[in-house]
Amino acid sequence: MDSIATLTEALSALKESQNRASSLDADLKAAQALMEEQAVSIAALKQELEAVKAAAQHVEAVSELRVNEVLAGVGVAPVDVPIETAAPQKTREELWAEYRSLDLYSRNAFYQTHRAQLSTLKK
Amino acid sequence: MANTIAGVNLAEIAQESLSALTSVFAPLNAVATDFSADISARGESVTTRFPSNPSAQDLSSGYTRTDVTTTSRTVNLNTFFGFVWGFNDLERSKSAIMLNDLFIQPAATALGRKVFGDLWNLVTSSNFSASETITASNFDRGSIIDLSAELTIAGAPSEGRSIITNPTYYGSILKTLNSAEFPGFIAEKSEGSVPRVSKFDVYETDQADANAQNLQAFAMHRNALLMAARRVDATGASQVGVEVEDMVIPGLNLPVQMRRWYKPDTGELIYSLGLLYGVAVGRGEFGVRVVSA
Repeated sequence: MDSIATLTEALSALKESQNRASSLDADLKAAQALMEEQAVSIAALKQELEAVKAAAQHVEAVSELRVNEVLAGVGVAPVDVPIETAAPQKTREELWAEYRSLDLYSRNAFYQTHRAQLSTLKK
Repeated sequence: MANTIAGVNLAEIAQESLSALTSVFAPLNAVATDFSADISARGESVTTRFPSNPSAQDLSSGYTRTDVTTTSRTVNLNTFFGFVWGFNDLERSKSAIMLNDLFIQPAATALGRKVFGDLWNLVTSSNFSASETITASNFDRGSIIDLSAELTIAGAPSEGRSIITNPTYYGSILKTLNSAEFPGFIAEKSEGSVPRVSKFDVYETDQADANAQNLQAFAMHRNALLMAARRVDATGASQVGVEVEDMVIPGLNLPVQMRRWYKPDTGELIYSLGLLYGVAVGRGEFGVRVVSA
């Protein structure tokens, strides 16, 4: 009786293992299907990105060509326009140094020009 | 930047005092001047030469040279005058105002009075023989026209003429012009100033005393009186802590020098205003003295 009971248990364990193997196989197939699906999506997105890049390059090239055509139409060659920055205002000390570098005949006019900044006397 | 004592540098004070100096020395426009702010223009005197008045010659028979002459006049740079003032620490501490700055204009006035006093003292009968006797009440535009004619006959150019008068005779001209010449209320009346009359610039000065010869006014071409001035050499002053500021009076280019220094032993802040100059008679025939008797 003991041998029969052992065989029955073994058979039951085998069935259980077969069921588990079938379940894992189903999961594996599902995962493979999902991977294939994602790979297709990634390939589509890459293709779309390449198309957008190509379109952007085309727009840039056409814009530059159009700008040059417009400027040529008004007789102005395209040039780089530097950004101008205002000269820094001289300090009172710098103005006095400049005053002293002038000859006596030029100092009066220089002082009058910069009097507001040079003078500290009460007016 | 220069040293700063009492909060303000000397160049700033000098520049701010120029308006007062310009006003005080404005009548110098009436005389021939030789002013230089260059130290290199050294020498004890300045010599000016006047050409003679030649007559035109007939050139139809050829170009024959006519001898010309010049008359030289020398101005000696023999007057070094100015004014020095200062206040000690205690005096300045108790004052609510900048005491030293307050006296810049009086110093300029004092210097101007000295210069014109020296020039006026040259207007004597020995230097200028021509004269007209005119009382104050009769000194009017008609008198000035007569003086103009006298200078023209003497050969004086019509440009560069001036009349320097004492305040009484200046007032006489102003009254006659106001009552007879100027309609309405105009700037000359508001300011009490006499405009150009018959090509004369008219200057008033309280330095026009009688010179013990009843002198009241002087009609002149600018070459009648000469003045020369030179910048004072201040080499070495800064090495001992003296601030030196040279300036030239606008329009005249007259070089005036300010100095400022502190005396630590007495605690005094000292200012000075100085001028190196000389005056001389130029062409004696180009001036007519106006005397009252």
